Amino acid sequence: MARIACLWMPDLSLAALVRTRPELGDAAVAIAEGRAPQSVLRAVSSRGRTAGVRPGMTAAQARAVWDAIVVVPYDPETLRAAAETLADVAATFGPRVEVDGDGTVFLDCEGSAALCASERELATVLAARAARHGLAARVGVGGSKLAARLAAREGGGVHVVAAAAEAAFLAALPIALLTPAAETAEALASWGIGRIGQLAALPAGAAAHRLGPDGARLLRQARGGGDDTLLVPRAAPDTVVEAIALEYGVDRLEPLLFVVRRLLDQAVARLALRGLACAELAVTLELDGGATLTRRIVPGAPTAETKTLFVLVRAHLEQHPPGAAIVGLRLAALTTRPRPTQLDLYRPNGPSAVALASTLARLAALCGPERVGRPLRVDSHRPETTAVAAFTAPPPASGAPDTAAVQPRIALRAFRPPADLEVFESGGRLAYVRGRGFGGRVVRLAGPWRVCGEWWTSDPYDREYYDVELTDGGLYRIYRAGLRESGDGGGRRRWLADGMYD
Amino acid sequence: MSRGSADASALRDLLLVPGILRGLAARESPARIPTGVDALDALLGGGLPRGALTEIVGRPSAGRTTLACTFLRAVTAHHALAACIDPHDTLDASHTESAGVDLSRVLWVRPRTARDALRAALHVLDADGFALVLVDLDGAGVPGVVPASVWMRLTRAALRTRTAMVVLARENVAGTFAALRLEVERRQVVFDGPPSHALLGAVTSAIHLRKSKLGAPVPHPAVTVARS
Repeated sequence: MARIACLWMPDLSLAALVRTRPELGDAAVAIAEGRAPQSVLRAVSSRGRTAGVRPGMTAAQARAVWDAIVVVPYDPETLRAAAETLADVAATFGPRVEVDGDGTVFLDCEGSAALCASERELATVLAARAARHGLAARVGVGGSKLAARLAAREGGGVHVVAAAAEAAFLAALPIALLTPAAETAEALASWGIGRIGQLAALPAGAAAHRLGPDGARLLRQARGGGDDTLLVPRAAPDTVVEAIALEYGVDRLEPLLFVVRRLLDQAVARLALRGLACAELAVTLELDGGATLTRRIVPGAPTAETKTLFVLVRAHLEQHPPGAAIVGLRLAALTTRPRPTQLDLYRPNGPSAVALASTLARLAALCGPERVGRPLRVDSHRPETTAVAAFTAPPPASGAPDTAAVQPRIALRAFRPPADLEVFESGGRLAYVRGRGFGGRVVRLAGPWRVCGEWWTSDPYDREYYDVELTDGGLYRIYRAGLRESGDGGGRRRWLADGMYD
Repeated sequence: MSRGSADASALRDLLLVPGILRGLAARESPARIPTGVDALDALLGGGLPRGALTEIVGRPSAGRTTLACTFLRAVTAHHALAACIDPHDTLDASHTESAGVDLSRVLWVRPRTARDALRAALHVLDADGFALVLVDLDGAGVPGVVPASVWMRLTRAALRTRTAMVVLARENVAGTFAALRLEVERRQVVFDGPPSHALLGAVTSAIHLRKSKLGAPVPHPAVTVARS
């Protein structure tokens, strides 16, 4: 015998809004659909209703009734995210989950005795999990979708309709809950039939003859018949989407990051429900003026940590500011199975791929992406041979560590760019060297040796190098640049220092 | 042997026992990364200490960068990762590679200020996987007054992640937070060949252990290291 649980929200659009913006939980809020000033209110919170604002009013009318009401634009993505969250909660108990058009979620909980002691316990756990994700869902359990839905709706919180008591439960409810067509409802009212039980007691053939197809449907539902026990399982989407629409523009990074953090928290909580990790995050920014920007952020490895994703998004936004106020934000996390890391028993473990990606993103935001990487020796005869390449964790090394004794080598501290020098000669030999921040009489020197090349390019070099020890205690590598490199049309060759031995 | 010299010898032996010097209980010595230079390892008590801050100070051209490269080489030779925080953009790939450093295992970060350099060091330490974080604070722009809280965070992060943190500077900048302070002093510069065709041959430096908070004092707190 089928048993179905239903998760139902009294007003899903408002609940979805409060889920992404909890600060509006106690406020008078209305959700408006359409472009201002013709936008029409689609939902109004209880405080708004108390003040006299009703769905169907325009936003201008609502503000005229009560100027303190917060009118938020309708965002179907926010609504869809809330419904998907309910579905994810339901899917923690079984794979057969259906999401109805209005966001109501059904779960096939037949055989759930293996998971919970009773159907009431199952319903209570479902309600608690939904509440943890910001959705105060009502949960009903019954033998059909209709019974479960009505149990959730009329039960007030958690309500289980036992199989034997289903007819009695339905009989006491008003026919309006079956959403009859207007003509059918009028006919039934004229007959004095207002309860489902009264409708179920009518002879089927005669009632269908008089009320038409809609009457036949109502009668079938009232008697608990039809295909109401069949679920159409949803295909779980491979992305977790969270979105928010703002009624104001955010033009500074810090407030925007608060919103990002909240959406990431929700997305990661949903990933945890599904036991998945984020392989790629698409951040779509809706700019004031209608334009949208989409940025794709790929962590070093699939992750389900808010902190890591937040650092990556923050670093990305700091490096590439949107340039206009943000009125909407959408995060789409591409899901994948988390990959466990196999550590090496005999070699030092570097940082995890996720931690490394997060660190590199932070460093790039701090210093600029071009100033973070691994040093690279360029294959060139030009003395300044240092470049920077993207840093990636090297593959595990094979072989034993090199523990042989070594002789230290003289290191050079490069000057970038080379420092301009004033050089004084005496008797054909270098006598005094003065640069910015250093200088002195030449104590000893080695050189010159000539280095030249790339004469076939627009940037040739032709230099005479010296190693000099100065009276200031420094050991410097200096050179006299060629005429073309010096760029002096007067025939003067520049003296430069490109490093200090240390 | 006189009674006095015997007492002095006994006292010296006693001071070599870890923990006796300050009346503390003997504590576990931190793990070390052998540098591959015997004299230096002897001075450091086995190698560069992990989970502690080591300071290298000295005048320009004294040999501080050579010592730092020796540490980089030691770490990368053990297939571990090292980070070089270089705000003055002074790393020379050619010389560093010639010193035996595996550049593919070095993360090179070039912040624009010394303050950012310390922030970058903290980010790298937080990654928890680098065996060595080298911060080059030599030259101008070193913050005169780095708040003690910054050094405390750095040393705690280094201790938590068992990372050897090395700060290179002209003088003491880390204060009490440095577990080791090595002062490098250049002794001799040798130019090979006749004056007309001389080449820079070798530089000899003395490394003094000016401070150690890791166990017993070393009997000979200075070594001489030649480099070519």
